[in-house]
Amino acid sequence: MIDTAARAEMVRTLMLLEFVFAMLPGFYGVFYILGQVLHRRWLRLLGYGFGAAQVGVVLLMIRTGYLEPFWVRVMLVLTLAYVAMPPALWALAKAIHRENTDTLQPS
Amino acid sequence: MQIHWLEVTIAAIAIAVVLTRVLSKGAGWLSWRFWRGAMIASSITMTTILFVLSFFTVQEARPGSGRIPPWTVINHEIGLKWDAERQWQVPVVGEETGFFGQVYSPEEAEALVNKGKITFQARNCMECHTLLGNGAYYAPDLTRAWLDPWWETRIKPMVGAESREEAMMKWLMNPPQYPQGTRRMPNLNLTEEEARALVAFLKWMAAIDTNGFPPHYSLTYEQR
Amino acid sequence: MSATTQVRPKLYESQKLALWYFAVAIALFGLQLTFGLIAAYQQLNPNFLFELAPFMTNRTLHVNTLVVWLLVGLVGGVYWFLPQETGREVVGIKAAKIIWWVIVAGVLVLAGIYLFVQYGPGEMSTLWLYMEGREYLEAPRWVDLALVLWVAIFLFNVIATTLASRRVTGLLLVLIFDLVALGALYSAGMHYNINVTMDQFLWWWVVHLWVEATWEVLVGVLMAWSLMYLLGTPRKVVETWLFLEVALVFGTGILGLGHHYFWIGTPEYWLGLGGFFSALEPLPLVAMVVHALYDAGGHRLLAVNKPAVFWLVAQAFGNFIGAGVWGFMQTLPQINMYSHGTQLAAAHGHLAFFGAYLSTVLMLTYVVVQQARPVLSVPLDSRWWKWAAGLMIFGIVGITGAFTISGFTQTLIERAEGGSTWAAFIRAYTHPWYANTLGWRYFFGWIMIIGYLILVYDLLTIGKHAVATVKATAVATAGGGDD
Repeated sequence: MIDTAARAEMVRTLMLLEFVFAMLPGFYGVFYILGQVLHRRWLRLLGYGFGAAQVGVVLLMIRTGYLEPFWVRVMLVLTLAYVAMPPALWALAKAIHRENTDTLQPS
Repeated sequence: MQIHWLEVTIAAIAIAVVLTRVLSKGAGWLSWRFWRGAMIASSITMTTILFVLSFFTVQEARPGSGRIPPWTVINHEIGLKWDAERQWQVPVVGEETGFFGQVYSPEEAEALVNKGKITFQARNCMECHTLLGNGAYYAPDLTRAWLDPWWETRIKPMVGAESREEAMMKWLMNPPQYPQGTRRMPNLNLTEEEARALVAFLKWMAAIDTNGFPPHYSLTYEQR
Repeated sequence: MSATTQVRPKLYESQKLALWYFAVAIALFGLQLTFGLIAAYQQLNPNFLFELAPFMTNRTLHVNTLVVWLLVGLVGGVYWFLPQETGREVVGIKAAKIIWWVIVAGVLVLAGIYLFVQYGPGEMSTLWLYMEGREYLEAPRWVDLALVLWVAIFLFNVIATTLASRRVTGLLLVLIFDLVALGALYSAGMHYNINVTMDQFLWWWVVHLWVEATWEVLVGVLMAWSLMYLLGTPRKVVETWLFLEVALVFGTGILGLGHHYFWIGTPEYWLGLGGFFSALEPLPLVAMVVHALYDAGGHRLLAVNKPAVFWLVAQAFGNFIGAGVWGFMQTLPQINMYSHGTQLAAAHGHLAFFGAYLSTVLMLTYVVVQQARPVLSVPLDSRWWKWAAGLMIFGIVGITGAFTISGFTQTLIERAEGGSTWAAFIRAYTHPWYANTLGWRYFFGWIMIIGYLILVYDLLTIGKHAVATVKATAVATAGGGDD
């Protein structure tokens, strides 16, 4: 059992990193989608920036050594899912609109 | 039965995917029919798995099953010990010491804990406290309240009690008289019978194996 | 303002009933905010109303009015759209009206009990008459039974109207199955269980599977209708995407229930299951954002009803950030072991309910308000809705921020360092990083109240100018002869 100070350090580090880790894909999704809707390239690029930062935070989280190997793998899988999510869902929305409608929809 | 979550997860996803293929056979994957199939498949699969897992959980959540203590645990000494393999604290039940100076039979113990649980609900305790971490976050978590060192070090001399159970009972019957911290607990007009039952319920709850929650209980600054 | 006007089509009886639903929902929203504000002040000054109505009483009313007004708003939304969807009057509308007034009377009696009786003796009769004492489900058993009757009649309305219209659309299919599940799940909350582990196990079947599964789907249905009737998105697209959302909501949310089974005495496999599936729970929420924006964006946000479209988009984002991001933040078991049951949960709760459900009901309210006036105002717009929305969003963000900071503090001081005892709890809430946020919370509570008052004013006045315009035109044309 680790002592109290080390434990507090671990909880603080992991909690802050997970907070940032949860926020970044949120920003990524929001800006990516806004960029697509409003046809603003810089918004989309900003989104990608947050996406990349998210990968960085996960690597940082792994480097702390607080995560067991098993959870390291879970986090990596989740990160991949989160990176793929906004563009994949956007593409899906576009494809489903095209497939199921005759009228012209936005690109 | 030993259940591993990863197998369940993979099975759940695999069944949902296969069922989707079956239900929406011949439909393109962007079509209305395909996603209707996906919706039905995932709803049925996940609901079924939830029911099956609940069935097994209920078996393990019976009093006396190992994770949940038998009602007669109120007659015993209760403590926590560090489990190096699971990396958290687990409750340990020690020798029989009695409760309020008497040993309760299984029926009596169940009746007492039951009375305590009803009182807990009737007095709406959860609207300030949390128990097992769930509730209103305004007052301390009660999961391990029985084991709180304050009963011995602070409350017992304050209310003039002989034992921990008596200290808890006396305090609970008039909390505003002995305020702790800046937030006070209202006087909920507990009868002696209700207060005694409430203490029994809290003691029984303290012996539940909660996968280590709350973490590192009562390892305080002082012990650092 | 360059608003055009047109005479509104006649309202169905069901839509007239829906107007009552929304009026009561908005009134209860005001009560919810008031009790929340009192509870927030009691954290600053614990002696305030300590004898008359302590924190527990205000908190009970705060969460119960929340659940009731949101549910009333969602059900009202269904009563509004159902005749439009089926092209006919709702079957059994008389029963629906009667049960509605029974429910309103019941809610008033219940509020009186909560305020003046507050609790009862430790006997089963208390659980039947006054207080069931389980957070969110405090309502005594007689209220549970009244609610079941209400849902049953509502379900009958929906099914009978669908059958009578002889056209089971995908949307109605989803709605009916969702309502059946919603009603069935509530029955899981109507048992007394001496074993606190089983008690909480079933309690979450109601609380989680309502809020994170069946309510989300109900919102999905209402959003789908709104996209269709507000923005003219084709039915086939809306339905296909709704199916996808339901597949994802149920696919992740049902086993995501596991995140409530980490620490209540249930077996360890729930740690992995809950952690994994709840990490995927944001997925359907992103899907909702994508869809709402894809279609709203196609119209350059210039729709027929500006506040409704605003709240529709706000809902998509708010649901995703509040329920998704703030939930996922503390969902991994390693963190959750420490943060479970702290102010962080309250941060998540506040933002998620605001984003997911409050926004939905406000969107529906604006849809209904536009149609409720004798003359349609197109586009529906005013200066005040922006103020109301801005202040309320500012308020909730402030409240959530305050809760998040105090949650971090509590997690570290009470849980990680202090060993979760009584003394550690006091140490946490007296720490400056916790104690100072209480003032902000109270301040932002007032911001919410101001936003609410503006909202009420706006709901009463928005679109009224159109009526005046039409009257003036009518007078003018009457004088000028030819139209």
